[in-house]
Amino acid sequence: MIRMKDSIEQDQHITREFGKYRLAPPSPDLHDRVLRAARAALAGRDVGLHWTDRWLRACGAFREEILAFASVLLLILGVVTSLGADQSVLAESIERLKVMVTVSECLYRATSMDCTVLKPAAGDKESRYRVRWNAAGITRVDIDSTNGTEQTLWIFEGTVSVAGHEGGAVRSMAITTMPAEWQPPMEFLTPTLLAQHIKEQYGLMPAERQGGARPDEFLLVGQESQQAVEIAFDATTYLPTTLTKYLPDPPWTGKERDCLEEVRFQWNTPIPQELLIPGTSAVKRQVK
Amino acid sequence: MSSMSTRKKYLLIPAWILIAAIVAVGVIQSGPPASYFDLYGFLFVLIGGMALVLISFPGAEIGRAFRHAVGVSGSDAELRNSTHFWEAAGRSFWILGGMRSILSIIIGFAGMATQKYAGLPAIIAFLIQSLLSTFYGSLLAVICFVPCWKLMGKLQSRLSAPDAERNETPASVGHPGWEFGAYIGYVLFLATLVLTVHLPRPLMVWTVYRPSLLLVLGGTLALILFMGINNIRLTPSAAFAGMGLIGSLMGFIQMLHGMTVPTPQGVGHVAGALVFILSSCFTALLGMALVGAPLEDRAIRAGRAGAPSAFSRVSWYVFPLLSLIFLVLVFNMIIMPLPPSR
Repeated sequence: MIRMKDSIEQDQHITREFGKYRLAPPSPDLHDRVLRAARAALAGRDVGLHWTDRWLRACGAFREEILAFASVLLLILGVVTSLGADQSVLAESIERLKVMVTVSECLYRATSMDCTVLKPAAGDKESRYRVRWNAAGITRVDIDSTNGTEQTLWIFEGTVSVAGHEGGAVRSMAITTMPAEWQPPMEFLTPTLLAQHIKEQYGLMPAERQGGARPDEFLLVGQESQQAVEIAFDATTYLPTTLTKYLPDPPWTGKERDCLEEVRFQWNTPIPQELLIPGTSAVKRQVK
Repeated sequence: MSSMSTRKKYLLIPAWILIAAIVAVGVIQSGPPASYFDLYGFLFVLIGGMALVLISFPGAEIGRAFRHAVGVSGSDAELRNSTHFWEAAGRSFWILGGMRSILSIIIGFAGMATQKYAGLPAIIAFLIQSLLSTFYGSLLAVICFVPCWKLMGKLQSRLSAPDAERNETPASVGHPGWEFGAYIGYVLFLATLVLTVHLPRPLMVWTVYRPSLLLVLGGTLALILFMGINNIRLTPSAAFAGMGLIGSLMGFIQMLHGMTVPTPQGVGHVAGALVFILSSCFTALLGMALVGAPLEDRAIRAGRAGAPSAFSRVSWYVFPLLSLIFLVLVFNMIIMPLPPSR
């Protein structure tokens, strides 16, 4: 019993002693005061810094937000610029080459060609050729020159067969020995030759202004031995419809360009077989 | 023991002669010798690769790696660093080979814009230059991987040896932060890029790369933020490669859409898409070479990572190969005519 009393007293004593050292509860504004002091200290330290360092410190606090904003901005700008209308020089080059390749391929696949070549001469006169080619490789050229003489040539595998407009015997010769006045525009003899000229001679590129073309056509322009070349292509078949050669005029004159040659093409329309046999009666009057 | 090794050495001589003869016969049998020379391409890969190495490693470590390559011994840690150096050098040449391949095609087409004739022979010449760059890159990479593999073998043999033979002296690694050599490396790389790339109009670089540059950079930042800046799996290299792949796929989809419209407008879309594919690959490779790989090298040298992550390795070695495949596909698309609508 005595022991129990002693221990109770001891407990009370200990509690009293602990009570002496117990911390007083924090005052309600202590937290705010500490925070204000910390902010004041931080601001005091920032005052001593250069403005760029202060700015960098502020940016550092929002690093992730700034990066997120930058990434979204870059992505939006990237999408907008990729959808934009202006093409890079590189894309223009690729486009030019792809058009050339497609045009060449379409010319190689042609089954027949019928083209009329008009060459204006002095006065109202003009010389006219009509070139017809079929997939068998036979080319017929009807020449109607300015001096009124008419001539028909059949060209097949390097041999030219000639018949005059008045009829008579058909003569044959090698294409290399053909007189110069009969030489039709060689670049239009076959679609393959035309494709070669388009790829290698004309140096074509898309025209800046497509105003001269019909809605279902597109224009390519180029140059060949000081002559300006303009070719209109069918936008669906990629085959040429009109080829025009002009004398180069200085751009500031504003005059209409002088046409040197105009070629109109028709593709893949059947050509009567008898027209392609040398010396047949169908020779006559096939130019127009 | 020494007589055995001398005899082995003598036996190796005819073996080397035989190997050289087989290679020579192979080269002769392959037909008329082709020209494997493209000065600008070679200089870009060689000097650019050296610049990238300078960005990641200080001169002392480079010198030590060369000494280890010729057989000078060192501690395990030093050998580990040298192995890492040679791997980084090989990686740099490989990435630059891929990068120059794309650049050659871009330079070729940009040059074609000012030329009168645009024919297939001209673009075949660009493709030859492209493949030559990859050839130089892979050749230099293999040359660097030889000491890397040798040092790896040496390290492995040491690890399997008894403890007494091992030398665990820590390597004296230079300061792993941004050093003066790194700045020299960046300047050297930019100088190489400017001097070996001849564009008729330098400003066209911006118009060519603008969309893909913005998309790849923005996407890379977004990926890194999404996965967490300190994520060890998604390294900047992997993010760049991922965005390069996404950009290329976007380009291919755009290209196929363009092909459904076989008109000149459709051709324009196809051409734009092909440029997008090329420039996406180029931007991703540039990002990997200039930002991704140096950051990871620095982390390894500072001890924050033990070795390059698997994702980074896949990005460094697979993405340039993928770019080359895309390049060949793009080339095929350019020379393939569009199907005309009937």
